[in-house]
Amino acid sequence: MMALPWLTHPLPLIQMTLIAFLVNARHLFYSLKRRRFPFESKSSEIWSSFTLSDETFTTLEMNPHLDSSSILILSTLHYFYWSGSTLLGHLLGSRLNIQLQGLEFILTALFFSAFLNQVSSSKSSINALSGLVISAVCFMIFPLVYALTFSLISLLGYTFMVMVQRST
Amino acid sequence: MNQSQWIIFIILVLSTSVPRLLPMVMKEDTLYSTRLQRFNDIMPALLSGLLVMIALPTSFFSDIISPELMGLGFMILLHCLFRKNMLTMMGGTLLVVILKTWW
Repeated sequence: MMALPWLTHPLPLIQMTLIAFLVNARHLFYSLKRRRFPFESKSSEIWSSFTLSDETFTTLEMNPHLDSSSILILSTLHYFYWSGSTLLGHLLGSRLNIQLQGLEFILTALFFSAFLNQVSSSKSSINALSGLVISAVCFMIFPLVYALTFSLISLLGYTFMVMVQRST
Repeated sequence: MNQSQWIIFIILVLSTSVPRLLPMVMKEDTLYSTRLQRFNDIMPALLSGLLVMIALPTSFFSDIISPELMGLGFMILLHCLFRKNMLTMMGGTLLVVILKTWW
């Protein structure tokens, strides 16, 4: 949904590509963890990768002993819940004549909620706070067009620094 | 769709499908390597902080006490009290909508 305005009012190509890959990068981490669940066929594995959503991942984290058919049903239901709700929201939104301001905050709320989860986890709290502080500093120092690129470079640098520190 | 819209569409399809399908073509020893596990432990937490910065609307920075800032504060309170993601999201958004629409 966030990407729809890009088709009508596109951002600079490099910046848009970076944001698109960055927002979807979480699916790489989801898929890495999902690979630990064995699937009977390649087609069901591809389908479960395609339909993998934030809700499915959270359910898998809470129930690590689910079998492959349950995961398939769960991810399919979540996928159609997302797309069905989007369609319903579009249809209702175009018919209802209510002017609400600030509704776009839901996207900020989604990411902030994920951030709060990371902060409240003892394992990742320092990393989550570091991510916010490093990005905030980059957004303050650099012009908005370059801030994202510099934030990503700084975060990758921080990651490799921590990885080296832990391995020694 | 014109040419630039097709390019944007292709980028969006690639950015959605590549991260999902990449682990499927990884070798087992790469997939379970210590280095990748460490990367997998650190990076999602860091990205969650960056995504908050990207998603913040520009009006957030325009005023010291903006509705968005109050929304974020209310979300922290709800998260500490209930630890329910959906409730936290809905509560914060509802407060911002009320403040921006009716105040």
